[in-house]
Amino acid sequence: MNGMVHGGWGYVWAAYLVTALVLGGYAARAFILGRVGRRLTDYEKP
Amino acid sequence: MRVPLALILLATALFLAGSYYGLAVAPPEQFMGEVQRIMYVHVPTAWAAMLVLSWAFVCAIAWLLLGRLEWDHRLDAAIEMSIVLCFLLSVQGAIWAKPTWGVWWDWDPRLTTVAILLMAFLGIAALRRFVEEPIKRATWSAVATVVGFIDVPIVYYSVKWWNSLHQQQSSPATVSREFRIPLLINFAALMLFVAGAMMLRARIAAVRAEEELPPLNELDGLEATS
Repeated sequence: MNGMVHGGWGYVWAAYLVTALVLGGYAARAFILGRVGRRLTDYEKP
Repeated sequence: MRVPLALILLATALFLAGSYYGLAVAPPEQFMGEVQRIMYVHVPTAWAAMLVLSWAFVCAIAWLLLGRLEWDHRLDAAIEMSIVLCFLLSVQGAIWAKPTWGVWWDWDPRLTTVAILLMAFLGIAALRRFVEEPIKRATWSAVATVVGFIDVPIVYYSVKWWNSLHQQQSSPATVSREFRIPLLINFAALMLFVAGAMMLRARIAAVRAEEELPPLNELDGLEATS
C-alpha cells in the first residue's frame, strides 16, 4: 500500500461512455423534437 | 437548425480530440494513476454546469424585469441543460469516487449540495409541466430558479467551508501542461455543445409557445373586453 490507485481503466471508460451517451442522447432528443415541431407548424400553416 | 447542428458537430470533433489526448497522450497522474483521466470529462462538466446555472439565473432575472417571452424560452432551455449537467456530474463523480474513496456515494458537503441542486432544478422542470398558463409558468419558474440559484455559490465554496472528501479547486497554474490541454479542449467542446443544444431547445420552446398563446390581435381583444 503506497497510496497510489492501481488499474481503474474500467472506471475511466465508464465515465467517458456515460458522458457520450447522456450528451448524445440529449442532442438526438432535441433534434427529433425540433423536427417534429417544425413539421407540425409547417402542417398547420394555411 | 443549421447553426445548432454545426455547433454540436464541432463539439463532437473537439470532444473526440480532447478524449484522445486525455486517454492516450496525457500521462497517468503520480498518485491517482489512470483514474485521474476521469477528470478530463468531470471538471469540464462542472465548469459548464456552473456557467449554465448562472445563465439560467440571468434568464430568470431578465424575464422578471423585462417580461419578454424569449427570456422564458431561454430559461426553459437552461433549466433542462442544468439538469443534464448536474446529473452527469453526479454520475461521473460516483464513478470517480468508487476507486479513489472506496464508495460510490458519501454525504459529503460537495456531493450533497450538487444533489440538492439537481433536485431543485428537477422540481422547477416539474413545475413548468404542471402550470398550463404560460405567463404564470414563466414567472413561477423564474422565481424558483432565483431561489434555487442560492445553492450555486454554496456548491462552489462547500469544499472550503467544510471538511470535505472532495478535493479543493486546482488553479491552472498548479496543473501541468499535459493535464491542462485535454481539460481545456473538452471544456471548449462542452461549451459548444451547450450553446448548440440550448439554441435548439429555446427554439422548440418558442414553437410550443406559439401553439399555446392566442394570436396578438386576440390578446388585444381580450384586454379590451376585460
